Amino acid sequence: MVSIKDLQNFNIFKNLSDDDLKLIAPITKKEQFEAGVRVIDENSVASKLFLVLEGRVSIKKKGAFGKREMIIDDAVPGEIVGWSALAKPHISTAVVIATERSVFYTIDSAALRELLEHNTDIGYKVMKEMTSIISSRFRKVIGQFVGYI
Amino acid sequence: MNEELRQFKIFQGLTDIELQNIAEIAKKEEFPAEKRIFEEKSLASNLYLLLKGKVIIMKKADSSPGQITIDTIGPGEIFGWSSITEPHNFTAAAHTIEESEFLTISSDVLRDLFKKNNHIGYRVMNEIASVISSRFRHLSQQYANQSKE
Repeated sequence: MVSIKDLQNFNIFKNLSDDDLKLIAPITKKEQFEAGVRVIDENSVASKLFLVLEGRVSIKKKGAFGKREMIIDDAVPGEIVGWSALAKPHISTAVVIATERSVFYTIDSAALRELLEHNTDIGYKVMKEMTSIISSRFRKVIGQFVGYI
Repeated sequence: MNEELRQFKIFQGLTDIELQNIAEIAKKEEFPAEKRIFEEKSLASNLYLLLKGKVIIMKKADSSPGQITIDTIGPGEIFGWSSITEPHNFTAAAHTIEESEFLTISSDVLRDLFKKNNHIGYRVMNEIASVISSRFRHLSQQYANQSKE
């Protein structure tokens, strides 16, 4: 059973009403991944948005010419991963690996996009928060990049 | 101005009337070559749409006196998206490398328009999420490619 209150704890949904969240709950599932499991593969089709309920995941990016995967961020309960589910071209930008046993709410991206298209009041509120989340991760990577050089 | 606005991907989902709403709040500005447009960490109050010329986005390096190029912007591209994502301060500096012409839009006025017309807000934020995500992909790849292992 998906909890409206749990959904509301995520920044991406913080401006939505209970009625708005009641539209999102039916397309949301709970999933669990063991430590070490690859949750999202880089360059795969982003078919789900992941909301971290429990545990921790690492976001990694593979370097050119077989270099190791570098950690670019991590995500903990209350945060999301897999934003490419809502950002075109809907191809994952990085790898996500569960660093401990993790529980997520997952939302089917096609169903969520359809919901937002038909309810642009909800769509605006969600995409406004989504751009802030992506922007915040972008700022972190800029910080790492200029610190590394 | 509608035709000029239409060349920007962020407005591609808007109707002619909605584009007119944007045209009413956009201003045209010209900058000579080598001119600073905004400083790193300054208050982000405008979104910039480049019509002609070239702009470079730079950030101070942590361990050297120089600045690192984060991105280069050409006609048809936007920059200064920090103006519409919290916390509304610029992550990096921008300056022209050629004589350039922009459309600038006050972010306060643009956010008001988004609140009044969620359809415009949803469409534009949807495209901006895609722009930031694409730049994240590019920058995080550059960062991962710096790996020495």
